[in-house]
Parts: sequence; C-alpha cells; structure tokens
Amino acid sequence: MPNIENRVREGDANLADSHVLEGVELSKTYEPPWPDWVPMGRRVGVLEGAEITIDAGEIVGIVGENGAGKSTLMQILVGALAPDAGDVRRSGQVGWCPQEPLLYDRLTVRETFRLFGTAYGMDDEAIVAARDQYADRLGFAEFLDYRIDHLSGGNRQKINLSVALMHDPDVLLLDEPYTGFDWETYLEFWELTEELTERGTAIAIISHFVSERERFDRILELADGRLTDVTDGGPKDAASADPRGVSADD
Amino acid sequence: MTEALDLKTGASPARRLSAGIGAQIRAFVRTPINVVLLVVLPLVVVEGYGVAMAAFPQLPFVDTGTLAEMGRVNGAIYSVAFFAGVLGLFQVISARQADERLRICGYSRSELFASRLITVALGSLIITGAALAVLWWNVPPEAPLFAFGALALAALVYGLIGMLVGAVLPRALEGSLVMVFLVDFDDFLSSGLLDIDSPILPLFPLHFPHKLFRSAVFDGSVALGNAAAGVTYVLVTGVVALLVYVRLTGNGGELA
Amino acid sequence: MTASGRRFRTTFEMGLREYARTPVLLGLVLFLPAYFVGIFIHVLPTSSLPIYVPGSGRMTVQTVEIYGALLVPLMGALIGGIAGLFVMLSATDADARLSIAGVGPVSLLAARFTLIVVAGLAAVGVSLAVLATAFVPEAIVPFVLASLVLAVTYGLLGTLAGLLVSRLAGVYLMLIAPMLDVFFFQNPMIDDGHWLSTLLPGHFPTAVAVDAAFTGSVPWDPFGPILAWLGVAGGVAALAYYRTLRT
Repeated sequence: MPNIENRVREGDANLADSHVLEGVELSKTYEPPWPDWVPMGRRVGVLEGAEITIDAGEIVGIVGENGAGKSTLMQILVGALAPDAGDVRRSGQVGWCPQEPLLYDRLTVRETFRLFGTAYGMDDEAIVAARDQYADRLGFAEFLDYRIDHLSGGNRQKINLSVALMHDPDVLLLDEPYTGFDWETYLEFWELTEELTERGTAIAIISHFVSERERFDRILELADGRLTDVTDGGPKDAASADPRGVSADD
Repeated sequence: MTEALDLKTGASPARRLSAGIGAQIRAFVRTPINVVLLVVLPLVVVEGYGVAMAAFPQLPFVDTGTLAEMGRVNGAIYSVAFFAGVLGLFQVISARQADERLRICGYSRSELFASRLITVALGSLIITGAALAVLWWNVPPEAPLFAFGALALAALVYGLIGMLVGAVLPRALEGSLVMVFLVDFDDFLSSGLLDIDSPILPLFPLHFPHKLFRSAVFDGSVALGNAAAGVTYVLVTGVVALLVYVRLTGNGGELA
Repeated sequence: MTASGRRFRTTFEMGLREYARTPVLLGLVLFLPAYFVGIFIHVLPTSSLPIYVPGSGRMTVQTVEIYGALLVPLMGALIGGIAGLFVMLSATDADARLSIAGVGPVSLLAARFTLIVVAGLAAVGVSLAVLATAFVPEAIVPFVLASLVLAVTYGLLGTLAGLLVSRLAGVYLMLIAPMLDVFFFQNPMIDDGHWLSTLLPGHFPTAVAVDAAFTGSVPWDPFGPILAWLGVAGGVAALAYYRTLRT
C-alpha cells in the first residue's frame, strides 16, 4: 500500500491532488554583497521562472550542464535555500540527499543514524530497523562504528543516501546520488528506487548525464534558468558515459 | 623528477615562485574583508589601546612617554603581530593539501615554503607600514626607519610562528586558539606595562621587538644587543618553520 | 520526554561527542588557560597596585591578585568567543540538513549555545583552579557567574562574527575584542574610565568579577544590564543563526 496514503499529511492545501511537490515560477540570483562598481564577485542569475511538478510514484530526472543551477533548484525545492521569487509546495515528508554529504565528520555511522532518525521523529526501534535495512542492502554493515571522516567516498555516499531514505519519505530529492558507487551498489540503488516508486514515493534525481532513460518517467532539462521536458527528445549531451561519475576507461 | 618536469614545462624555479606568490596575493586581495582589515585593524587597535591606556594612572616604572603613547606603541606591535600570525596560520592551513599536489606537479618543497613565506612577509611589511602610519598620526617616531624595522621584526616572527602552528596543528579552530593565546599574552607580558623581572621573558617572541620599537619611537636609539637578539629569534624561528614545513610536504601532509 | 526535548538532547549529545573526539581541541581548551594563568602567576611582580573596586572604593592589592581576577573572565571570553565563532562557521553545513530533517531551530540553537556554555565553563573552571594556587576570590559564586556570563556573551558575539565576516576576520575580532575590553578598558586600575568602556560587553561582568574577587558581598543590580547584554547578543545571534539554516 502506498505510504503516502497511510500518512497524515502536513502538506500544502494549495497543492493539486496528484502532485506531491510543486515549484512555481522559481527565480534565484546570486549577488555579491557589495555594489556593482566593486570589482569583486559578480551577479549570477541561476533560475528564471523555473516550474516543476512531481507526482506520487513518479521518478523524474533533472539534467543540465555544469553550473546550470541543478543543485540550487534542489536546495530550493527541499527548503534549504530561499528563492528570490516563486513558491514551493510540498506534501508529506521530504528526504534530501545533497551532492555534498553534509554529515558530521566526527560522528560514527551508528550515531549519524541516531541523530538524523531522532530529527525525523523516529523512535529508537524504527531507527535501528531502518539503519540495519540500508546497511544490509547497500553494504555498509561492517562500517557502523566507523567515523564519517574515516569512510571512503563511496561509503560516505551510501550513508548520505541512507540518511535521506531512512524515514521513508513521500518525496525523495537526490542530487547525484550514485557518485562513487560500485556497480553492485548502483544496481541495488535502482532496485530500491523501483520499490519506492511502486509504494508511491515520488523521486527526483539530479544527474549531469542520464544514460538509462528507461528508468525515468520524465526527464527535465535545466537550461537558461528554466526547465524543459525532454523526455521524448534527449538532452544534447546524453552520452553513454557512466553515471556513477567514473570514466568509461575505469 | 622535478628536473624532468622542468624540462617538460620549461618553467624556471623563479617563474614558478612568482606564479605561486602571485596566485596567493590575488586570492588574498579578492577577499575584500582582508583588504578592509589591513586598513581598519591597525587603526582600531592602535587608537583603541591609546584611548584605553590614557585612563590609567601613571605607572612608576614606565619612564618613556605618556601612558596614552605607550598604549599606541603597544597597539602597533600587537596589531602587526596578530595580523601576521593569523595570516601565516591560514596560509599554511588553506594551502596544505594543494601544496602536496603542487609538489607532485613539480614545485620543490623549498619553493613552496618560500612562496608561502614571501606572501606572509609581504603581508607583514604592508601591515607594518599601515600600523606605523597610524601611530605617526599621534606619536611621531624619533627614528622612523628603526621603528619600521622593529615593527617588521614583530610581524615577521609572528608570521613564522603562525606558519609553524599551522603546520603542526593544521586545523583552523585549534590553530586559532593557540595564536589567540600566544599573541595576547606575549604582547601583554612583553609590553613594559608590568614591572616584570623574570628570566623567562626574553623567551617570548615579542620581548626584543617591543624593546627595540619603544626605544626607536621614544629615544631614536637602537640597542645593538636587542637588535641582534631579535633578528636571531626570527632566523631560528624561520629555520624551525622551514624544517617542519619541508617534513610535512614530503610526508603526505603528516608530521610524523 | 517531548519530541523536541528528545531532539535537543540528541543534538547536544552528538555535539559533545564530536568535540570529545577532538582531543587536541579539548586539550587546548583545558591546557591554554591553565598554562597562561600559571605563567602570569609565575612572572608577575610581588608589588601592590591601587585599584578601584566598585563595591568598596579604592583598595591596594597584590599585582597577581588583580591580574588573576581579570584573567579568569578574560579566559572565558577568549575561549567562548572562539568557540562561538567556530560553532557558527560549521553551522552552515550539516546543521542546515539536520534542520530540514526536523530539528527545530530552537532545539538546534539551544544545543549549539549549550556547547558554548560548556566551553566557557571549562575555561573558567580551569583558570580559577590554577589561580587558586595564588589567590582565591572572596565570593566564588558571583565571580564564576560573572566570568561565565562574559564567556557566553563573547561566545554569542563570536557566532555573530562567524556569520558576518570571514573565518580569518572572525579570529582577528575574537582575538582583539576580549583583550582590549577586559584587560584595558575594564582594568580596575582606572578610576574614571573612558565613556566607551561602559558600552562594552565586558563592563558589568568584569565589575562584578572584581567586586566578587575583593569583597565578600556583591550587589545584584549589575546583573540587570548583564542579562540585557546577554539577551540582546543571544537574540541577534539566534536570528543570524536561523538565517544561515534557511538561506
């Protein structure tokens, strides 16, 4: 049964029934804190009226060139960054896997789950169950007592992803989630997303390349501050590069 | 390895050194708060010390200048020491990993050390000029060149200590804590504002620069013994910093 | 325990664990105050100085006593200021994620500010312990309270500095401000201080600390402005911290 139907919503009343996340007319410009005549830093317009909707049980890919503003968009959607203009409407709980892990370096993996699980409002039993489930599926059970700063990049990314998933959110926003994964973990990741979408979880994945188009319901390209649906076309640079961030030679 | 890379890139050590220094100066200047600090800090500290000390009763063991003048003189030394010290600390901390990479790319360890040191030295000289200019406003020094030299000595010794602390303790919080305590207490104990007669005082880095600076500002004289001791202190600190730095950049950033 | 109480407890506990895993930092917070108070006690002359004590007027005391009494609040202010600065500097990263995960800004703020209190308490405790080998303040409780409040006030100012200026500039600020404020502007050798001295955060806490060091009873009236300073610094720092979580 879809988790969204089981949960009491703290969502936005303005949100259309089918949408669990909506970004309306989003604009964002990074400006230096001093006037234009100071020759330091410069104004960078990132989003200019970007629109996005994500429905329950849907998996959406967001692509775009380096510096197109994909991570800015995701930070705005999740609530970590305020837009200059526009509105974000969310329904239910959100899970966020940022590009940089944003974890506490000197805490162990076990403590990290406890901290974030408590933040999500989970009880101790639920935290342990979620932790063990993802440790088993993504393969970091032997690292539970390691400090975050003592983990390899790939293992840190597994924790980053698991922290976003552990409270079984209604909307998952994942920014380059499989960077550094080995092949088995990469496949396990897609299996997980399939299970989640079957249960009604909405997922948005940011990636600079989408090489396996069939895995997505829709693909949106961010360019010139706006999102365009390119599901049927194909982004300019949809090459056959490995999406885990490793080159074909590796 | 280094020579092979030299042949390949055609870059001379001098060119690499100037490229390294240029990059660091640009990085410094592109942080506007650094430029503001360079102007504002000496003004605030020199005048702040002067105003604060003006309210003190005359101390019997202070026989040179008024207390307001003594305060400004101390403020000048303090401002150059902490500016250079913290600059040295952050130079080394922020450059640590990049330096290791630059070494692999062909920079020798001594070139890397020299480029950091020259940047810190340049910063030290600029802040010395700024602090002396602020001091001159109310307390014109009797021997300006000697005063500049003594002040530069204070800046240099702390610039090197900052680099040393950054190399041994390459974390911003821990390094800052050490610098805060070192500079604050050294300056206070070496200031001549307390009637201290302890054999450990000459071990403090600011002891000789303070003496030299006071005599250059108030009497226009320089005691050669103090000058030699001050310069020796800087040289010894420089050698220790060099050895530690070279050891670090040759050992994956680890001291041991 | 309520959900927000549980979140506060866990966030604070994890913050403590993080710091407990930096032995060098812990060592420095304990060692530096002890070391420098020890040096002061060792090198200060055995002369006496006339000072002005708010509760008793003019007194003549030993140099080591007066500088010892100033050192404890100064240590608190230095360590508190630096701790506050770095709490803020690290806050923009993982704290923002934790906030989105559900730890309310109040719980998060309370957990981070409690860490500053712990750092201040450690600095004041160690300094006082070393000072006690040469001089024991007359009224310990108000002396410690005044020193701790000053540590927290500077801790809050440090968090503000962490938000408004760069790391380098913040360290400069937290290096100069407590020293100038406590050692120079609030020095009890001064009879009639500069008008500016009454506006500085160190004014009332240092006056209470000096009073407590040399007289047995301390009036409670200065705690009004002390708490006002603390409240304003806390309010502004809280607002600034909250903005870093959501901008």
